Amino acid sequence: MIEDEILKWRFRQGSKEALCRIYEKYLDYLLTLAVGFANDFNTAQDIVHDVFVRFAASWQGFGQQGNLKSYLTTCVVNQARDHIRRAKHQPGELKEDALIGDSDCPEQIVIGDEVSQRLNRALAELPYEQRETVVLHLKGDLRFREIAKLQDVSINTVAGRYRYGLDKLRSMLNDEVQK
Amino acid sequence: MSFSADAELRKQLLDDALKAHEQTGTQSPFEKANIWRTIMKSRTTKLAAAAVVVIAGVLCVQFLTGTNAYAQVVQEIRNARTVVYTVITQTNQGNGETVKTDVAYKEPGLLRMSTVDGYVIILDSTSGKVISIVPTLQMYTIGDVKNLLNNIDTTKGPFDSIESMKKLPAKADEHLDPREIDGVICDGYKVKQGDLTTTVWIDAKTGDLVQVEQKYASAPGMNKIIKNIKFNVVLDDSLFSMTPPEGYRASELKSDAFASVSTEDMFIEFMRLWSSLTVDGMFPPVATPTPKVIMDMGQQGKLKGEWNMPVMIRMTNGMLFVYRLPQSSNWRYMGENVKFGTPDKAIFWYRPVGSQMYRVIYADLTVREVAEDKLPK
Repeated sequence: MIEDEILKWRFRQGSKEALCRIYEKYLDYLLTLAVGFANDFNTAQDIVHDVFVRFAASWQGFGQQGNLKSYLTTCVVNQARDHIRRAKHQPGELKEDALIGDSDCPEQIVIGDEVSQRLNRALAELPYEQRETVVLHLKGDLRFREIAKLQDVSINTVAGRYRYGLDKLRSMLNDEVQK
Repeated sequence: MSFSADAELRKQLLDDALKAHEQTGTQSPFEKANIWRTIMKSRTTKLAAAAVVVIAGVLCVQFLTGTNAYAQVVQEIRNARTVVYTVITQTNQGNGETVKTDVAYKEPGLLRMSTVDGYVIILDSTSGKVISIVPTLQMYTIGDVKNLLNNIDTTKGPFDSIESMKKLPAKADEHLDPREIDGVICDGYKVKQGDLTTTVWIDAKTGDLVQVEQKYASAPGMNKIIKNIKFNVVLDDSLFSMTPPEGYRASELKSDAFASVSTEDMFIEFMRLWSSLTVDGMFPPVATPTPKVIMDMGQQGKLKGEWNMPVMIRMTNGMLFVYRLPQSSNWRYMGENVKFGTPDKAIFWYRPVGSQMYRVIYADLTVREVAEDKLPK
């Protein structure tokens, strides 16, 4: 947290090094969120690209007082919503050569990709609001209260979306396992 | 589920970000200080600048003093993990009888509502379970109401009062003249949010919240007064227990009892059922009558026929149609004191999503599409 405060201050002063550090620190996290929202790596890449370009261009007027991670998360959420509204895309297969899984072990990389792809396929079947809620809570570590503020709905609606989303994911993934 | 960009992608994204960073203006942030240095060079402009700062400060203090109490109350509401309050609504049964419901709310979605005669509903929106207890009938109903809660805008359902209060903005639209409420001089603050106008009354001396009034322009039957509001009181989980009282008989709702999708036909069916089961053949006093209204009408001898569980479920499915209408539908219910079959008498209208025309339901339960300027006044 202290590092983020220093980074924000230096970013406001126009420091490129601060921008690079913020980028390195949050790129993968934001990319993971964007893939969860969009279920298409190219779209996710566009989303994160747009977020960072706008963020980089905002240094002179940047006045964010709160949490930097939450701010960037909100940017990705808004950008994802815009993309999905505008885009007429088909859910694409994730290109494995552009991705690296969680583990460095070659065998694990393949398994990691399969699991991630299966999960993403299931996520794509959810209504967007439920998908966004599940991704923000599970991967973004956002609390329901924060998600409620971001989505401008009640905390009860968020809890409901999360519960229904998880129920459907479980059902879909269990069906796949049985097949 | 984690993803990481490869080296080439990382470099490409960073290059674009750095390019955007460089292209954003050529003025160094430190150059902004020049404007201030210009002001401070001249003594005259220095005094003028000081005056502006002082005046702004005074105005700010006056403004904040008046609205600070409101902002603090709103913050308290938003931060509250538990809330207890009393909701007062009118049944519109001609005699202006009011219904007082005591409510206890505990995050993340526990609600307990009780009336003076002991009627209790406990709802857990996280698990989707509900229990309603009717002491006069020594009966309870317990069930899974996922379908009931599905698609309901929580500003119109059982969490209506508390969710609307939590959505109040930090700044009110209007500061009202002081008024005495229950012996306390209160400052009033009015907020308009779409169809809902909320008036918040705050003790002028202590800053405590005294009363909240909620009025819906398109649905006056939903107007309510909220009093006796207390935040973050300790609420034991036993208050929200789904265990029925000993000795009460059960009526179990099946998990799929309520329709997950509500239709206009279901609402019409509700109107038909109700009017056929009341002695005077009238439609209900409000679009979504509470069980208390039904019980009171029963005690007054206004009901006839079989008011059993299948009938109640069909009626509830009809009411769900109203609950699930979005705010943009501008629905209005005019069926109070109207008898089934009254010619050319509109009892309900609403505007479907995406439509410019309104669908109007008449007392003979026919439906016509009507332009907004042709709606009954």
